[in-house]
Amino acid sequence: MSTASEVKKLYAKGEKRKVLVILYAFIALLIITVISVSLGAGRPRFMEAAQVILSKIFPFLGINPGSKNTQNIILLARLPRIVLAIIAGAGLAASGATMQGVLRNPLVSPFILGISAAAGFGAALAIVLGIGVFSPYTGYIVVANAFIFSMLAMLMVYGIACLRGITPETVILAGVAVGFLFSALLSLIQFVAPEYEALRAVVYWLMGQLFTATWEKNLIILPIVLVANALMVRHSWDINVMSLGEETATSLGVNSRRVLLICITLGTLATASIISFTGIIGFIGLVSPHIARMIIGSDHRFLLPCSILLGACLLLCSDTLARLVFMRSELPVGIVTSLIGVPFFLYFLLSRRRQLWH
Amino acid sequence: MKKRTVVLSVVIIVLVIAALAYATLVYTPSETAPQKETVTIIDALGVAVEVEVPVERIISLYSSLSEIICALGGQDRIVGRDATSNFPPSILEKPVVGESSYNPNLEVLLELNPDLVVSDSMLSDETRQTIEGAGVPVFISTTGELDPRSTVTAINFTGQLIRNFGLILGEEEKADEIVDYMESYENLVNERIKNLTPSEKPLVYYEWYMSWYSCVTASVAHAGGINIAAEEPISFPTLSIEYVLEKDPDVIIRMISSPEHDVVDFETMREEILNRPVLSEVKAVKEGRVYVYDYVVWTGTRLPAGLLYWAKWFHPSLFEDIDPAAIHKELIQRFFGIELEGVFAYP
Repeated sequence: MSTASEVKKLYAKGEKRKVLVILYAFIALLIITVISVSLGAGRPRFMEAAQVILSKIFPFLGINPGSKNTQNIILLARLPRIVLAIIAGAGLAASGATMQGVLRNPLVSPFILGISAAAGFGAALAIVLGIGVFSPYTGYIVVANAFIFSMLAMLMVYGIACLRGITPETVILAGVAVGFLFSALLSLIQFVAPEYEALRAVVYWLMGQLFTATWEKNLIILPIVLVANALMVRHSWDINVMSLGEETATSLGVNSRRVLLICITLGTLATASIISFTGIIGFIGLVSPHIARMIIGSDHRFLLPCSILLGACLLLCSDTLARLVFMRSELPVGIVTSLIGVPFFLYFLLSRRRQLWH
Repeated sequence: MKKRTVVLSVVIIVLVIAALAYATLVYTPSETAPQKETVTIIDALGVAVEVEVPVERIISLYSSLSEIICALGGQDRIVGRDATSNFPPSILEKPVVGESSYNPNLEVLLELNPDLVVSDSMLSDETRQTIEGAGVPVFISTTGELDPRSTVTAINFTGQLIRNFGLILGEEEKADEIVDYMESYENLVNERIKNLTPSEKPLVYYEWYMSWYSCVTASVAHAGGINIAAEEPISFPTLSIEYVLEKDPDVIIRMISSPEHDVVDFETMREEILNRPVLSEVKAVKEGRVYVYDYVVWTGTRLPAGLLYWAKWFHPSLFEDIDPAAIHKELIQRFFGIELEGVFAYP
């Protein structure tokens, strides 16, 4: 009795386990969402929140939605923010997993092309030049500027990498160089900022926060992240093949260079559109893929969905805590993300025996 | 024996000559200038600053103090300023030694040969030591507004500052006059709000220069309101939107701080707050009690204007007879002899 069928069985069993893990992660996200909806500085708890939401989804049921103010607290303050945390966490984690995969490097994060520094520079430029009208609520000019400069950084990295030949090494090194260039420019702006207020606003932007979430902004980010994530998941088999090396990939009919370019563009696009609105939220994109890899292994067909769900969980948890620590005032989520992400990450790092990298 | 005496006398002579030489090197005659009187004032960092009075050459790196020195008639004695010191307008012709106290150009500053440098607390310790090392005393100050937890009112704090500078400028009478004038308005406000019960005071959401960015400042209470951020552990908290909605403030005040603005900027800012969807059900928005003010009315000698604007916004019926804009105009005319133009609060 031998091997072929047994191996197949084993493989199927493994796959089943992985699907189950992803299902668990999804359930975890649902639970965290429910908890998050039920907590906040405003009075509404689970029941009130449920009433408001159900009355909006099923207006024909005639559920009493409560006072207008309660509705605003749930629908305009709490929910958009929860949705943004999920979208942003998912987008950043997927970008991180994809980029670590195609660049075959565990230190890579979605910011590898220098786009965090570039976005920071773009935002700072808009804030410092337009402090009079600046307000995170209407500050689309800041968002647009951050996005434009991240795209510029991406194009610069492509330009440099093309001159030298597109390989993971050239992309990473060009990204590092462009990142340093923009962080120098960012420092320059901060140094010459004429007003203390502008400087403070820039620092604040760089820390990253989700409290300015609105449905309007979510509607801009959601399609970009959704499409980018779907396309990245579609390329997960190619990424698997690429991890065997460029020659093997070519012999199996995968054009490494093309996949590399597509995946990096998708990841950068998703990340840039998120951080343009939220500011720099760094840790999620680096660490969620690693945790996912420790749980589920490096098969990107499973790794990507698992990273996406973990990223969403991690950012939603962090933001819920950021809302609750001082209760009446905010803590920038970027700070909380690392504070709770690091112990979580270390736990997995120390307790899992699975190989950390491929 | 004889030899010993010779050696001894040589040693003594050498020692005497050395001592004399040392003394001449160290000794610099002070009799050439008449002995000046010194006063000691304690600055905001608790440092006792000894100043020879009256001071003749001041460099001011702090806009509020520049304004106060000018109000005391000391404008001629200001020999340098930072770029933020821009009031009264006549001060603009004084040389600039830096963008702000954060990064003054030390060479330019020392070249102006000041006998006193005044600054806010952004001046670094190193810079302070360098200036003091050059023999120039440095006085650091903050206004009551910048220390939001201070229980002393802004006018009280600034009054003390004005009296100190009256002393070192030799303008004590003028200082008393200004402080009395400022305190008269503070007393007026106190008198009118003193019998209000907490339930008669409006809940105030005070927004600084960014959305949801607030301050624990006690000035709201001094003007007869209840600051919804007053209890926060962080001095400049970003308030949770949910918390603001839950509190349902009666009045929203928002600061404008950009250096140049006209009435359109005030309108735009107010409209922006009125149109935030999330605030639509809040009392202040529904009743249109959203006010925008220029931060300068809460600085230096202009504090009474800020206090009266706020007091009237919080208690329109109690201050019906008061026109803060007119009083602002009057005090500018009185202290600086100029005609005030522009908008400082809206609506």
